[in-house]
Amino acid sequence: MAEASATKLDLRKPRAGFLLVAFALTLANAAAIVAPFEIYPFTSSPMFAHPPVGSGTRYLVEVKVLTPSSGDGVFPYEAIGFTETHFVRTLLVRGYGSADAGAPYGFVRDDDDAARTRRLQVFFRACVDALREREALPAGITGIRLSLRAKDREGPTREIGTYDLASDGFQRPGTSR
Amino acid sequence: MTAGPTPTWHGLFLMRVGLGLFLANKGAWLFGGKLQGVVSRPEALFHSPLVETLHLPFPPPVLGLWGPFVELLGWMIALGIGWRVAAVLASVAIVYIGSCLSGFGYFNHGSIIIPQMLWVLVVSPGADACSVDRLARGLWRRRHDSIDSARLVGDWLGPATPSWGLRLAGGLLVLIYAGGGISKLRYAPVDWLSGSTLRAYLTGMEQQYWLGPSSYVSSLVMDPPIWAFSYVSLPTALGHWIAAYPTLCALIAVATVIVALFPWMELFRALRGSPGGGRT
Repeated sequence: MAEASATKLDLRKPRAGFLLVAFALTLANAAAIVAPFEIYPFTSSPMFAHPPVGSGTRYLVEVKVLTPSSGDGVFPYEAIGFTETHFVRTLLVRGYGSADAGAPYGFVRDDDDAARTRRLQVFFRACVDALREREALPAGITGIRLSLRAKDREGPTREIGTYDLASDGFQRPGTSR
Repeated sequence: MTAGPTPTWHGLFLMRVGLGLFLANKGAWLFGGKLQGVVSRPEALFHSPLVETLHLPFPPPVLGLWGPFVELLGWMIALGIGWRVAAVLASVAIVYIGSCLSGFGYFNHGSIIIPQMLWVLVVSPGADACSVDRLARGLWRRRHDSIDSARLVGDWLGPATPSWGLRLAGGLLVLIYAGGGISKLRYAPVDWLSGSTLRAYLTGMEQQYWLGPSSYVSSLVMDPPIWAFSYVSLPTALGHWIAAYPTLCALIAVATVIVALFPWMELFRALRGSPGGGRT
């Protein structure tokens, strides 16, 4: 009986639902590899493929809270659900961005200075709003400064810009506020 | 070539129970401690295409129930209680949280297998073998028809099924892992295969951010072209120990590519075979 049943069922064709899911999943996974792209749950898994060696200076990202009354402080990323690493990563992906299509994340097509400044403004405004909602905004804060410090190389910290709370703008060094 | 029917039912059955039990016990763990972080992060920073399209995320009280919800669905899938609906809901829940986290630049690669396999299960014949749903249907029929116990057990085990489901699951796994292998050869194959990239990550260089290609500099005058970023994990003692042996790193790096790409051969072999059937 089992053999007869199996023989009979071997002749069945897959149902439309099965074919649809099979086609969609196969196509999406293949496209993620070929394109490549990452839209959850499809990925080309680019992460460790990118070599952090032999490609120039490496930087540490610093985000400081400016409080004239008590000096600069570390941005309170934990108050809005981040570890420092995740916060910097989100900042680079969603704020700083990359104009390089080979970047693992954060690629912005046709990027320019104005667009990047706007993204950083939106990013830091969202952070400030979130801190305020959670009553975790540091007392006396006037701005948030984003800067880079070259790793393994002597030299001053390079300031990228400062988000000014009063004007709700992201200002680059040397520009008027 | 396979001789006789292929007993596919136990593969799909084990897959369903295994995935269900994993979600039942590890549902909240699936994305580590990052779930709570999603709840408390600024909504304005979500940028995942899916999240934006669906106007997500849900408010924190709903997000807070995510873990228990997925765990409950896991039990339903494992036991086979309304499991197809539970599997669809679980896949949606996982994709939702995964999309939220990817909006923050965190992409849980390992977890993508789970929703895809759940979708395969839902549409594959034979996955409902030995489920409570099937047993309940059999008992209900027994009340109206004269079905003996042997027939009842036979119905609970389920009918013979084609092996399409398992083959699709295998094919998708091959594709997913091949993606990782291809990526390692796409961007900097010499660096990867020599073990230098692996050593860099093992020793914690991933905690820094480095410059992209120099051509990028001319396109933007504003800032250093930071190109890549942390992959979160901090270096460990084991990582430092492995990194101290360049040859070992090279062997591991080569092995990862072989493991990722070799299953293509198995996929081609599977595609050449004819779909079999099995007794449930």
